[in-house]
Amino acid sequence: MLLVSLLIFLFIFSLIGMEIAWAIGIACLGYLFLNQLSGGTMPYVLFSQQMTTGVDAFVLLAIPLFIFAGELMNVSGVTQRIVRMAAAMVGHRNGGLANVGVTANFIMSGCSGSALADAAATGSVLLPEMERRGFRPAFSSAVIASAATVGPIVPPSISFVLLGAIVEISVGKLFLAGIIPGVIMFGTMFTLTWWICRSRGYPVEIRSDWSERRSSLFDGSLALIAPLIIVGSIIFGIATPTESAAIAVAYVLFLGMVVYRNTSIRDVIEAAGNTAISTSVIMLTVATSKMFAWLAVHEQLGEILTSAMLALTDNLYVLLFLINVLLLILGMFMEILPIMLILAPVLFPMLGELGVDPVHFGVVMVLNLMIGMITPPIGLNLFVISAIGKVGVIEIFREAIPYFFVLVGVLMLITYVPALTLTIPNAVFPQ
Amino acid sequence: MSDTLIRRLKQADDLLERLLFQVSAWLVLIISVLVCYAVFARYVLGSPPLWAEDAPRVFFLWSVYIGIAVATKRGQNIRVTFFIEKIPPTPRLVLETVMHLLVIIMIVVIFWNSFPILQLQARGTMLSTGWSYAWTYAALPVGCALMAFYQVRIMLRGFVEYGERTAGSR
Repeated sequence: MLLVSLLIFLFIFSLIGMEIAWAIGIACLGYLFLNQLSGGTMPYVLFSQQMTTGVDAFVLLAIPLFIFAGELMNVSGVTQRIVRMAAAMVGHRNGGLANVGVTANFIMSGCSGSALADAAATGSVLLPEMERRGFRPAFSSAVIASAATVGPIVPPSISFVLLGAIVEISVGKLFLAGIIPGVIMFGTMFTLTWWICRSRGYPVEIRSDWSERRSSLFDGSLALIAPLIIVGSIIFGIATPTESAAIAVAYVLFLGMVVYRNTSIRDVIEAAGNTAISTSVIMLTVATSKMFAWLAVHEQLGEILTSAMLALTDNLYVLLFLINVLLLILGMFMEILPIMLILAPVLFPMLGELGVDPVHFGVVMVLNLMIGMITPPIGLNLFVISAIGKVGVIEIFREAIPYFFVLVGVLMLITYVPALTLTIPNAVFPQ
Repeated sequence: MSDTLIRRLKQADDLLERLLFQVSAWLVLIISVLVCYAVFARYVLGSPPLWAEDAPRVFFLWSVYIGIAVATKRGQNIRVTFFIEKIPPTPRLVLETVMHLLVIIMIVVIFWNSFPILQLQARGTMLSTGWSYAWTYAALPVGCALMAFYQVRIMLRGFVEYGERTAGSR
């Protein structure tokens, strides 16, 4: 019960503007304080210990390395090349630049591991251009914010690295499991955008000639080698996810410094410093959330939640539906990282006992929480795009509602058809 | 006299931030090189180094806890400002000061309690690298000290900005 009141504290503190990581930390500290007041023996040293051991794992090193690769891609203009390639391929069809955004985000997702980074990178290139062409700014913002949700589903993915580290499932398997759901998300959002743009009569680009197509394709294809390296090295067992991320960094550095020759040592150091900062912000949340999760397990939150859920129903399909609804609601009000870190150690054992494959549920959980990134009041994709495009969050969400429903549809499909996630990983790593 | 002092302090402040930024940047670079070299050594040289996992992990912890200090200084932590921006200046100042104080208390508690662990771990050494485990566990107290410094700085800035804002509106 103590923990529940602290959950409420956490919620209030984060809502009034305390850094999320610290809001979680203070809830933990408050718990330890009250525990000692009531004669408990849980020492504060536990907290300090978790702050180090919670982030000290080799698999977590994949996070700075994937972020670094993404930063370097922005510096060396790989992002622009990807947008140009997408424009040459789909710009002349219905959907025009909007579907260029959807496609570019899909391609980017194969190189970077974060929805926010993808949204910021493609948004800053495409949004001004789309406004010039006559797209409604709220609509263009909604398209980019929604399209970026595919980022953490298609490998590589920072969310999968974190999930793999918390519940000890193979990150490689999670990466492979995300491929088909990622393609489905792309396909449905592409079709929806095509349909909306056609019915509203939004402009299309002039069909580019073959020489432009060839040159942009060649230019962009060098960027496409990065995801092939990452996925290929995992499929063939050449490297762990962390190592594949380091190889991707080396490859993008090679592109920037040798092939395109537009990246200086100073740029590289700047990118590395920005990487360290972005990573540390994530890791601080990981550290305090791990402490919180530890306390949650100690307080038997898992058993309480399990018996509450099982009291409602013992039908697995209904249970999965209820969990999805719970995660969607939480995702609206909280940042996704703490939800994942706190609830995963509780939910995975429960569903494992009921026969749900952790790799399957891992993809379901991340996809579900990604939808939370485009729903107010706390949807980080909306915030980032709103800052770039100078359009209000609520206005963007209004235009994003069709995308929200499409993504929820995909979520249900992925939830109830495990083959969509498990076919590839089971084929590559047979038990 | 006091003007030069303020200028000096400002310079020192900038210098510290640049230094921390550079250190964390180089740590990320070192991690990338070490992990790449480990793969290279395994496939090309045929002998993966013993330190392949342990050494990058130590550098990672340091880059995290030094990076978080820079993030604190620059206000880059993830926070929701949607509601607090709608609160009038005076209650907002009170609220923010209380929050900063709570965070500072927490950082001090974490800092203080990291020493028993550090002392305990310093007795052991990593087999793969021969380094003392103190290197792994020292990153946290160093990071906490830097974060506490920047958190106090942010709190004081809040007072200064409040003073300027209310003076401007009068």
